[in-house]
Amino acid sequence: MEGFLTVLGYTEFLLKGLKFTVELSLIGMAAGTVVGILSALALLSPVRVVRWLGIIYLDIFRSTPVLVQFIWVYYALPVISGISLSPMVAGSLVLTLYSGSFHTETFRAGILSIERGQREAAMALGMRPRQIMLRIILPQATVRMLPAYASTLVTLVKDSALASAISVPELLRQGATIASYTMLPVQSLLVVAVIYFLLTYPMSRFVNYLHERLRV
Amino acid sequence: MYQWDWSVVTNNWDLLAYGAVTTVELVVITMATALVTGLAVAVARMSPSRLLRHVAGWYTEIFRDTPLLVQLYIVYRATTWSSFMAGYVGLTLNLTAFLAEVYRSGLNSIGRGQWEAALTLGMRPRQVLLRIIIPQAVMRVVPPLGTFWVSLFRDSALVSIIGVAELTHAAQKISTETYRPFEAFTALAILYIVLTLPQARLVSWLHEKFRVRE
Repeated sequence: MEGFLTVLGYTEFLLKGLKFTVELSLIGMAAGTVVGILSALALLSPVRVVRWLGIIYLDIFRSTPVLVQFIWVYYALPVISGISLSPMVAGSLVLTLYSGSFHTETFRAGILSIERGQREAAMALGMRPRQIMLRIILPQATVRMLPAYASTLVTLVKDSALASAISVPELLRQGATIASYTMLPVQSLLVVAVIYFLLTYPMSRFVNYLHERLRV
Repeated sequence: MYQWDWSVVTNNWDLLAYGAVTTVELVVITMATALVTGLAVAVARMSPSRLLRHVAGWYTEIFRDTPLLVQLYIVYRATTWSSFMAGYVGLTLNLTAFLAEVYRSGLNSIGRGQWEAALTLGMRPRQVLLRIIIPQAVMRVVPPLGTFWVSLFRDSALVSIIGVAELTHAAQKISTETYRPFEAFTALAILYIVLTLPQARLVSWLHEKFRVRE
């Protein structure tokens, strides 16, 4: 018990870590959503090359471990591009592209889940493709997408912990620093785990609520 | 212009192959264990004992709502186990929580009416379970289990951080020994794509094949 108090004495460290974790998560959420929308549109595009680019993006980001993506962007990319990214920029970039790849699937599946008949009926009523998308398809699809979209956000917060591997001073990294100062690794890590839990538990309750509420 | 030198990868091929074998071993034993423990936790969540339900419920919440990497670190630092053992236990504890949810929603999705209808037809509870409930539950559980298999295969890379000599760890070793991070990590990414993509495609096919039409 005393050990936990010692660890909690390093509040400033923990708060700094929390700040980075929240920043990484918020950037990843906002930018990842934009990337997800763009690449879902790419997958539904009539142009074949655009569709292929979308598929290649998805396959690369969904079949490699996030950790490998962090390592590649931080250590390998600068070698060929000549540009080295700060840990924070590299971390945000990876979280954006990784969560974007999950959003892509969610958005695409949501749009495709709207029955063909709806589109046909709207066309028969003389609506233009653009109107059909904005007024008929998207409003219904959005509701269906919400639970999966929100659960990707929960995953994103947890995955931000991997940015510690490229030395972003986020929560886990700060916990490891405290561990080395205090020689209390288990207590430090448990405190960090509790903070993560407090961040994600309300989010995942909300996801459950969405699942129950929006059962379609 | 950067001069490639892929010989650092080809010369260390055995290291990568050995790492890949360790990855596969770890993933197979983790999945095999979690398939059983996950079911046990799912059953505990439906048990008549209130205490058991609560314990199982909190277990799943805690392991699903904290980062896997934090869990792996805690198991590794709180015990005197080898890296491999800590990695195996950490991955299994985490996957158990997720699979418990898969089983639970699979079993819950079979309506109560099916039980009642089968009992009315004179079937015994055992028959109902074996012939009516389980076959339908399997249809609903297999595709998500496949998805978790693929994500376990990817997530297993995290155990490199606690020192398990698997695929990612092998590439890191090559990178530090040769000062060639680009070649080492690009080869690593390509290896993961080659190993994971066919499995991911197979799982998508399973999702199509087992689609339940209501």
